[in-house]
Amino acid sequence: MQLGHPKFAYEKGLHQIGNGAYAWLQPDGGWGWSNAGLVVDGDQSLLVDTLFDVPLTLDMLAAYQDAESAAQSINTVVNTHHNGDHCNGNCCCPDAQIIAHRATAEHMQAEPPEMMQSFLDAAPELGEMGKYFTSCFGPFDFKSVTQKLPDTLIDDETTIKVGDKDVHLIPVGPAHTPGDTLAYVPADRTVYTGDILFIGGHPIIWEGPVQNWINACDRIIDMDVETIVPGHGPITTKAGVEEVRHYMVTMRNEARARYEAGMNYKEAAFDIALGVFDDWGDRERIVINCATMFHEFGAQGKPEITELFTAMAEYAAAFPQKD
Amino acid sequence: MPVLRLQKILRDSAPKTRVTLLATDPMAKVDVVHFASENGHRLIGQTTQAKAAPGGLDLLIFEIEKA
Ligand SMILES: [Zn+2]
Repeated sequence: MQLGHPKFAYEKGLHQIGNGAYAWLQPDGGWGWSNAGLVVDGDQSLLVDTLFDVPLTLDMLAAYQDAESAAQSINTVVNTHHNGDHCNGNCCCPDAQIIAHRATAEHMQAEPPEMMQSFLDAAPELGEMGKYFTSCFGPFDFKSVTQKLPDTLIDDETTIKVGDKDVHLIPVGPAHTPGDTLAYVPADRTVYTGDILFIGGHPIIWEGPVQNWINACDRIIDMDVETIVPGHGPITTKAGVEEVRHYMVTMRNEARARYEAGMNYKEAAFDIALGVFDDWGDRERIVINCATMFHEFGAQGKPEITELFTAMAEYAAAFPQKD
Repeated sequence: MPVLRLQKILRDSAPKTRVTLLATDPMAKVDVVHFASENGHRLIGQTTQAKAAPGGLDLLIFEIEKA
């Protein structure tokens, strides 16, 4: 199924939404290949998210500056959540105010770029898990990053200004991560959703509960928007949001049935037929999703990160993606 | 499971207690560091002694301070 917005090609680089709103897209939207946004009004500018490393972020900023003189000096950065592919480039905006949810700031601190680099350094000794991890995160330059944490924290829905335009920051987590926040710009009929939306790829349920994610989709569907910029994948419409919602409802039902049948999370992940979601990318994320949902259903503890990546590597080898 | 051992020791110790954890499973280089960071414990040091563990395995030594 084609879920991209018909007005926008899914091509790397800058896409003009109109009225001073832009999206920066990085196909294919897999691990670390995130989207971001720029909102300007008059001489004021706001970024929604930065990218996974400094070279990628500097490329994006150069394109923003070519498009809008207000982007010469970025006034504000909003981080939609704490994953490095949405905030590692904050250090490229030294003079900006950095705004995020309190939980986003806390978890950012717990997942510094140096840690990702140390995992990549260890990966060659870690067998298939290490190979898989490197295939996900090896393309990025974590050594270039100096972590810059948010300086302005929000706990609840907050409206900020870019020039005369309102930007509503709407916390909807925990879902993908604890601090998930939407950035809704009514004047541009645009919402930047961060990783509440993966379009054309399997969402990663790091945190849950799934119901929060479903509620977040409903919140977007209720907005007066024409353009929806996901955290990964092509710019989409409400049809794309409906599909992500459908994924959450379907996978929760599938996982629940297997939890009640006495399977463990890994058995469930390998057993679930992906059906209409089979052609979405990064299918092995079903492993993480089952682990998180089983925890939500009452399973003891959460698996170690290497256990998850080992099982995902096994899944990817067992069920190779068709092109 | 080094993380489970670490979790158990830290649960029964006072804040700022320093713990030395020995491991041979190379996955510990990811899991111990990740666990400590996610839970706010400080990783003070991480060293490897080549072939120092029984069976000629590398010995991994983590020093952690409880949050
Ligand atoms: Zn992301």
